[in-house]
Amino acid sequence: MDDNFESQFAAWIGGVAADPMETARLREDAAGIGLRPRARIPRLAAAVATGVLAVAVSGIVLVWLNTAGLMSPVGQTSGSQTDQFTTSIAGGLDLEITADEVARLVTAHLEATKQQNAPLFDGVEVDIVSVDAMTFADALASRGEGEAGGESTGMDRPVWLVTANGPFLTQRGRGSDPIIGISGHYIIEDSTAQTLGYGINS
Amino acid sequence: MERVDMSLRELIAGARSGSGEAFATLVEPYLGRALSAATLIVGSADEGADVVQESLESAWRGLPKSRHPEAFGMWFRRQVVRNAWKVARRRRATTSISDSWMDPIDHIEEGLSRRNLARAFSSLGDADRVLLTLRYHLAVPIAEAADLLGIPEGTVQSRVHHAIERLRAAYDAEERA
Repeated sequence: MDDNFESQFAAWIGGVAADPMETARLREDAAGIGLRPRARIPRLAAAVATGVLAVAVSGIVLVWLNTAGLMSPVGQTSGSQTDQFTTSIAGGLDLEITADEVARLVTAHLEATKQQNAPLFDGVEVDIVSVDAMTFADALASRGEGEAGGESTGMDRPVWLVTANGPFLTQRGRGSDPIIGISGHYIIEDSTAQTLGYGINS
Repeated sequence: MERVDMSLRELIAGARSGSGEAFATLVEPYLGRALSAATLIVGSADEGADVVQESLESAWRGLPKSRHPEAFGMWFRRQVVRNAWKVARRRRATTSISDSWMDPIDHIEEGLSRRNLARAFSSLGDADRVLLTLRYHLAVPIAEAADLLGIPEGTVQSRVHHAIERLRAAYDAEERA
């Protein structure tokens, strides 16, 4: 290396190039906006496991409703509740996923967790709220959340809400924000959903 | 120039409406440099790719809210650098740049110099690697680097100078080894 060290360094670092194959894979990722699972699946699993553990510790019921008949609103969502959940969505969720695919993901993780720790779900009622192309507020309304008087059973139970904006696991206090929440980002690529990312709100 | 601007607007509009292909076309020109820069900073090609993935995710989420989509390239670059730096901070002292980064060795002396440069660079602290990557790999102007790092322009210049000095010392040590 001669005295012109800086210029030689500049030439070296300027010439450092990315692996073309890796770059091409990233381009594919961008096109599908479905990130490769290596860094995502563990986070998803951890997020779900954390949520499920929280459910167990709290003695909460995970609610799973999955029939179209249950989607029709049975109550009114108050303005304040709508605002709270709209905020939650705006803060972290803005991608789309089909309800069926989220249901598949959730089911898989619940089954996996159940196998690891069977007592966790023994005797626990599990419902799925599967909401395709509905707003979170509509989903809450469909569960009876926010009914006048606020004594519906749904209000005190955690609900796995699968909305057009993604899945939520919530424990609903009366008129409060979600206590436990798993919010995530998913994307559908053709018929196969791939995890885009996952985060935990708690 | 206008056609380029229109194309950019169209791509951004397409991406905002949910088109993955439009998004991919939008980010494609930046991916190679983003990946190499991230790898330089974190010192691992795999983690560099993860950093770019994270940045793609941020870009996808942030695009609908972007107030200056025409500055997408610069914004994306900042995301990559910041995300890479976060990773580098977490995994300090485990950095090593793969020999595969080096160009084919045309003659031994040049090859050894490149290898020693790579090793010297990877031995630097994460802040030095970020700064040198910004200035020498991404050719980011002083003003933009100062803004990104949140420090005055004069400080950027000073830190670059000292980083080069440390790099030189590390390089000399490699040469003697």
